Amino acid sequence: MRRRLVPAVAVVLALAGMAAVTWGQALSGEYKIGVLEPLTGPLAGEGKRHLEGFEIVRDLINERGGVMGKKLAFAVADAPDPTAAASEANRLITRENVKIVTGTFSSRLCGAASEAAARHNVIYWETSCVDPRFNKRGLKTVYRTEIDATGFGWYNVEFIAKHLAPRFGKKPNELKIAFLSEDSSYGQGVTESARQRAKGEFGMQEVALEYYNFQTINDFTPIIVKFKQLNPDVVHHIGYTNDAPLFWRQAREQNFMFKALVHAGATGYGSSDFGKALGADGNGVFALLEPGPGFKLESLKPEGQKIEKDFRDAVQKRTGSYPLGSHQLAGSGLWLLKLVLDAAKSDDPEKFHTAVMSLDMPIGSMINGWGVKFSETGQNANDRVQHYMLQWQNGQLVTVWPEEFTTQRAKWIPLPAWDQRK
Amino acid sequence: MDPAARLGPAQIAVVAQLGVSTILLGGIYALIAVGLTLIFGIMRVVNFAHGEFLMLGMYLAFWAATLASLDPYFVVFASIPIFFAVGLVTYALVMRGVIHASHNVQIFTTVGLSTALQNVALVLWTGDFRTVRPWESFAIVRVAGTAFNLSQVVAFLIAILLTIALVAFMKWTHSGRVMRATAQDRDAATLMGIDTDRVYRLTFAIGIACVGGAGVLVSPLYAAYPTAGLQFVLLSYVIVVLGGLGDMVGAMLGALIVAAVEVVGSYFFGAAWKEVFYFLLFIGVLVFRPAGLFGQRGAETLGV
Amino acid sequence: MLTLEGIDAFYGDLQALHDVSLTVEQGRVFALVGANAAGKSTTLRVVSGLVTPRRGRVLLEGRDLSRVPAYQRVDLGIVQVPEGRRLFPFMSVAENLLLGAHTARARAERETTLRYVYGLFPVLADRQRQLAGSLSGGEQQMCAIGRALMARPRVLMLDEPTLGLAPVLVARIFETVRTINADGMTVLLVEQNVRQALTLAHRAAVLESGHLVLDGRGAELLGDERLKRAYLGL
Repeated sequence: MRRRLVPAVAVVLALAGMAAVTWGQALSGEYKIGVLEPLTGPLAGEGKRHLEGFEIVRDLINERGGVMGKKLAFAVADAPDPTAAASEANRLITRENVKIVTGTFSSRLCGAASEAAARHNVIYWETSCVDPRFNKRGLKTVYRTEIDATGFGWYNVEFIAKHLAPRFGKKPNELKIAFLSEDSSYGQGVTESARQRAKGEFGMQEVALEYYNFQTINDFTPIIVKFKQLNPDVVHHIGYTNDAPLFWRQAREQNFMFKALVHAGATGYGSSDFGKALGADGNGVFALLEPGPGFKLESLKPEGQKIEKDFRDAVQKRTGSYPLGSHQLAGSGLWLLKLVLDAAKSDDPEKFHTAVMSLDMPIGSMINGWGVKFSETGQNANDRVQHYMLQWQNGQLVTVWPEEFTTQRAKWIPLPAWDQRK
Repeated sequence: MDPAARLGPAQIAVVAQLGVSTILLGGIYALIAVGLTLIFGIMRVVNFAHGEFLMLGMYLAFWAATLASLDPYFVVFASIPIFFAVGLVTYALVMRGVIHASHNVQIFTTVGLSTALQNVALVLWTGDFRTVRPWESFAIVRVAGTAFNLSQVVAFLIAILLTIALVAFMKWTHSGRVMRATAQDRDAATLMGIDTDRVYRLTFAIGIACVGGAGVLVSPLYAAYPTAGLQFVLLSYVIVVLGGLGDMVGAMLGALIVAAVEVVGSYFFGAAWKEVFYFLLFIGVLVFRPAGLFGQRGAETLGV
Repeated sequence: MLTLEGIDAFYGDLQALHDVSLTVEQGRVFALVGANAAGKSTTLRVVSGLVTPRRGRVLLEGRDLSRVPAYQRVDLGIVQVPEGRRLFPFMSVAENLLLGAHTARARAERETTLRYVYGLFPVLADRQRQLAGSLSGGEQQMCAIGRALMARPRVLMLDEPTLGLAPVLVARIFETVRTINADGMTVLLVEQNVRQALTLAHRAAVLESGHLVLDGRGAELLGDERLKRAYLGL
C-alpha cells in the first residue's frame, strides 16, 4: 500500500505544480477584485445566486475588453455570518492584495465587511444590502449601487399615491393607510420612510401602525380585527417570512376587505415561498422588486436595451430562466463598477471617488433600467435606481408598474371579494 | 381613536372573535407544550430541542404531502409511531448519557441537539419555507359572527383529547403510576423493581411523539423551515412554568392564559407588546408561585 | 439464603465497608446493629444493588448477583424498605402499595397481598385515598413496609424502621416484624435500637467503622460485655 502511495502522491504534486504554473501565467493579464458571499449557512441559496449574477456579468465585461484593459477576475470568499465577513474581507485585502471588495447579498453582512475594507482604505462596492445605516457611518471608500430600505418606502408611496389612488377614484390625501411591519431594521427602515413620505408629502391618513417580531408572531387575528374596524384603503405590510402568508390567510378568514396590500423587497410577499404557499389565493398582492416578467426592453435607452438584453440572454443560457432578484442586483452592480473603472482608469480611492461622482446617467441606461447619480456618501439615488411594482397573478410575480416599462397591467384594483380574485 | 372605546353590537362581535382566537391559539400552544411538560415533569430535564422535533413533524407533513400527496390528517396517525421511535433513538444516543448528570450538562446537551437538528434540516432541506396546502388549511368556519380556520379547531380538539388521554394515562394506568413514582423518588422506584432507565426512555418517547404529532397538526397553519420550532418553543417554556412543571392540565390552562395575553394584548396595545406581557407573567409566577399557578406547593422541587 | 462474601464498598474515595461477610438464613431474622455511619445502610444498599461493591460478592441461594441490576433484584425477591421511608409523597396510600407490586410475579398476586397488608395494617385500609406525604410518621413506616411486602419479597430488608418514632410505635413495628417473620419471611434488619433488635433477631452482627466485629446468635450478643458497654450503656 505504502509503496504505491508515494509515487501517486508525487504524480499528484507534479500535476498540481504544472497547473499552478499555467494558472500563474494566465493571471498576468488579469485584474482581481474580492467577492464576499454567504456560500454556506442559511443565506447560502441567495448567496450562490448572487455570485452567479456576478460571474455572468464578469464574463460579459471580459467579452467587452475587461476593466482598465485587463481581464476581470474574482477572488471569492465565503462569508456566512458578520464575523466571517469581516475576517474574510481582511484576508482578501492582505493576502490576495485586492483593492476592491464587492458583495454581499445580505444586510446582515454588508456592515461588517465594508467596515473591514474601509479600515484598509480599500474600496467597498455593495450591490444589494439595504440596511439604511450602511452609508451613514462616515466611511469614505464605501459605495452602494442599490437603494436602501428607505428608498423602498419612497417607491411604495410613489406607487400608492400616483397609481393606486387615481384608480380608487381618490385623492392621495383621502387615502386611509394602515402600516404593518416586522420589526427588523429593514422593516422599520421601509415603514418609517413610507410613513414620512405618505403623511408629509401626500397627506395620507395613517390609521394604524403595528410592528411585530416575525419570529414569534403566531396569530394576526387580533390585529386584523382591529384593522377591520379602522377600515383602511391600503395595508402597507412589510412581511419577512412565514408572517406574510399567515397574515394573508387570516385576513381572508376574517373577510378583511381592503383595497390593496403593498410590500417591498425579496422577503415575505416578495419571496417565491409566498407563491408556493398560496398559489392563486395570493392574487393581488403588490411587492416592490427588481423587474420581472413583463419588463419591456424597448422602454430603455439604446445602451440600456443592449446590456439588459445581453444580460438576460446570458442568464437564460446559464440558468435556463429569467433573471432572479439576486442575479439582477449583482449584475447591475458589477456592470456599474466597470463603468466607474472605465472612467477612473485606476483603483486609487481618490480617483475612484471622483469618477463615481462624475457619473450621471438617466433611468433606462443599464441593466434593470437603472440610471446613476451617487451622493457624496456613496449612495446611488432613489430616483435613478428605478424599482418596479410586481403583482402576484395566479402564482407568478409579474411587473405591473411603472406602466411605461411593462407589457403587463395591475389587476384587481380595488381588490374584489376574496373569492373573486381569479 | 381607540376602537375599543365604543360599545355596541360590533364590539360584541370583536369580543367574541378575540375569545374564539384565544381558545384556538391556546389549543395549538397546549398541543405543543404538553410533551414538554411531560418530559420536564418526569425526567427533570429541560428539553431545549423540543421545538426542533416540532419542526421535524412539520417537515414530515410537508414531505408526505409533496412526495406522496398525503393529507396531514392522515400523516398524523403515522407520525405518532414514527416520532415515538425517534424519541427512543434520541434517548439512547443522546439523553441516556446525561440523564443523571447536572442540569448544566443537560442544558448544554439539549441546546447542542437543538442546533444540530436545525443545521441538519438546513443542509437536507435548505432554508426555504415549505408550506402544505391541504383543503383544510383554507376551510373557513363561520359561527355567530366569528371566523376561524378548520385546522385550528381540529388542533384544539386534539389538544383537549390528548391532555385528557395523558392525564388518564398518568393517573389510572400502572405505567402512568410508575412514571410518576420515578419522578418523585427515583431510588425508591428502583427498590420497587422499576427499571427507571426504561421509564425515562418511555417518557421521552411519548413526549417526542406528542410534539412530533403536533408538528404535523400545525403544518396546515404554519410553514416548515429549519428554525420553525423557535417560533413556539419559547412560549412553551412559559406555559410549562405557568401550569406547573409536569402538570398536564396546568399546561392546558397555561396555554390558554398565554394565548389570552397575546390576543388581548395585541388588540389593545399592539403586537410588539405581547412578549413583554407574557414574560412579565412568567417572571411573576417564578417569583410568587414557583410551583405554577395551579401547582401543588412544594411540588416544584419534586415533580409530580 | 443470602450470603455476603468479603464485601469492600466505597463512596468515592471513602471506604464504607471492609471485607464484610455474613449469611442470612432462610426464615430467620438477622439484625445488623452498630453506631451511625458504621456501614449498616451501605450493607443493605450493596445487597439491593444501589451500591456496587468494589470487591466481594452477594449470593442469593448460591446465585451471584454481581451482574444483576438493582431493579431486577426485586424480581428475585430482594426488597428493601429504605431509610426515611421514601414513599411517593404525592401519590395516595393505595397507589404506593400498588407500585410495590410492580414485578410481574408480584402483580399476579396483587389482590391477595393487598388483603394481607391491609390485614397487617388496618389503618392503611382506612387511609387508602390519602396522599402518602400527609400520613403521620408511624403510618408512613407502615405504608413503606406494606409497599415492600406488596413486592412478595423472599428477603425483606428494613433500614432503621423505627427511627424517629414514639416508643409505642416502635413496639408496634417490632411486633409487625415478628409477625411477618412468623409468617415465614426472611428478614434483614438494620437498627439502632440494639436491645430490641437483638431480642427479636435469631442472629445478629455488629458493624464498627465498616468492619464486622461481632457475629452470633441474637440472645448471645445481648449478653456480650463489649456490646453492652458500647451500645446498651450498661
